Amino acid sequence: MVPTQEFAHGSFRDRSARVFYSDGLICRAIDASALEEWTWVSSRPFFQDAMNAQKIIQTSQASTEKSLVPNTGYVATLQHERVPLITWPYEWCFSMLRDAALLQLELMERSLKEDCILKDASAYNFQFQGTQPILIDTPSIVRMNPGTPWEGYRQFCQMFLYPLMLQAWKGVHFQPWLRGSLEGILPEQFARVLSWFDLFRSGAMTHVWLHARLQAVAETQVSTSSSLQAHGFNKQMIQNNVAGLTRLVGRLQWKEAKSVWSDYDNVTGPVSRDGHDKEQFVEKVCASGHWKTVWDLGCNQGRYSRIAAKRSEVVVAMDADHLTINRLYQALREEKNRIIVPLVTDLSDPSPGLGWRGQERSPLEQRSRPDLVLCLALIHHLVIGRNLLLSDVIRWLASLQATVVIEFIDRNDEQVQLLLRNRTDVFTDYSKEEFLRLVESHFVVQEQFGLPSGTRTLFQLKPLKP
Amino acid sequence: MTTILTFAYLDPGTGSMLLQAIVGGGAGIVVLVRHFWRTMRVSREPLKPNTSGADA
Repeated sequence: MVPTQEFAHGSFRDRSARVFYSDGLICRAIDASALEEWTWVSSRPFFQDAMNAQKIIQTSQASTEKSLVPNTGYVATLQHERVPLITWPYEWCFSMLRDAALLQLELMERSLKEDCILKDASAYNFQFQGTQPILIDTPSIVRMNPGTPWEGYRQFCQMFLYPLMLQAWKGVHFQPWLRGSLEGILPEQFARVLSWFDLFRSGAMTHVWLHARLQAVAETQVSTSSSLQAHGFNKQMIQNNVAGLTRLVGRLQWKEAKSVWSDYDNVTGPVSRDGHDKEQFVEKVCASGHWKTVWDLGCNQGRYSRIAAKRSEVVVAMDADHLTINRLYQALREEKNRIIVPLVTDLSDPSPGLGWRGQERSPLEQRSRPDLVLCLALIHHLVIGRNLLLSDVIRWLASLQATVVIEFIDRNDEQVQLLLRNRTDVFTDYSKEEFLRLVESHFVVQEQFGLPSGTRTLFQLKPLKP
Repeated sequence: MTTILTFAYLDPGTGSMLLQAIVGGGAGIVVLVRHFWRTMRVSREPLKPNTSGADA
């Protein structure tokens, strides 16, 4: 059977279990083989425990099959709890990718004890509820075929282990690599990145160098899986590998001390002088309603995201600075925050549509629509720092059709002067008069507040109807 | 058959399978040696002459 609704664009690799949306619900059409696996796996104690602990998405078999069209191969429907925000691994920070990797290994370890296995290890199988990673691809857990190796091992290396090693060992941001290839980093590629010194690091010789070499040597071999099975490969070997990977990933640390933005909230000058008044302004706007989705653009250490989180279902805290987002995530994880999702996002180069037909991994704007946008101390960076047109930025904000809290910073502000210091000043459109003209053509200015620094003004804007 | 179908969409990589025997511990090395020994013997075996009389 095929659902009456279209399948989700990114759900086609596993033909036996495909996602579709029905009346606002997240459903998955499954064929007879996937139903058989689901019936068995979902009754295992580890599966129920992990679901209760919110490590696996709440899933149940739908009682009705009315959404399925007869005679097309699908026999049942699973219904998943909705995740408030869908994010992709190239938007995560180091600690998010590491936590998702550790959850993958934890679920592997627990499922193996009950003769189940996660048949793949795609980082896209995980999402975040606040700072809690959660497995959303429940059909990836199946009964294990005794004596055969873990088929997701290579994928685990490509999507989790190598990106984490790249960041921890080389200090190279992994996001552009994962965004550049949805399959992750190949062993043969990553082996070339490592120096001789790196090969002495734990796990480098086996999981990277040998991995790449064996692939080259073994290309002519046939039926390796059956041969290993015939010669005594067993579950304990997978368990040993998973235990080793857990230790290895657990030890990987990104020890970057400082970035351009990591100490922004601690600097003196207008940033610190205006902080208290800005908080009160944001608090007042947030208190004026209940917000489904808030976007905090250029969130830095999440000062205003935390205020918004008191009155909203989900806050997407975005910043282009990886270290800042990593620290915010770690702090929010300590706080056990389930509302704020921090993302590494450069607004001047946001996540595009990727994969098959450019639709497999959709842009952020197709995954999330805000009803409140915080855009504080950001616009001068977009216009002067990234050379975007002020008119384009205002038009884009208006296109979101959300209430906007925005801060305009005059040219004579010391931070703006810092930005202009080594640049030819071609930014003729950057003035308060032009800003107001543009804003009034797209929004209703509901409130305006001059901050104590004298160079900064806050606005609360309501979009005009499109 | 079911397992084959559910695994079919993923390319596990032959080298990745062999490596799992290495990182799987001492017993895994034995499995790997036996695998390579058999592979080597099979590759060195001369082709048997066709005695059935049928055309190849």
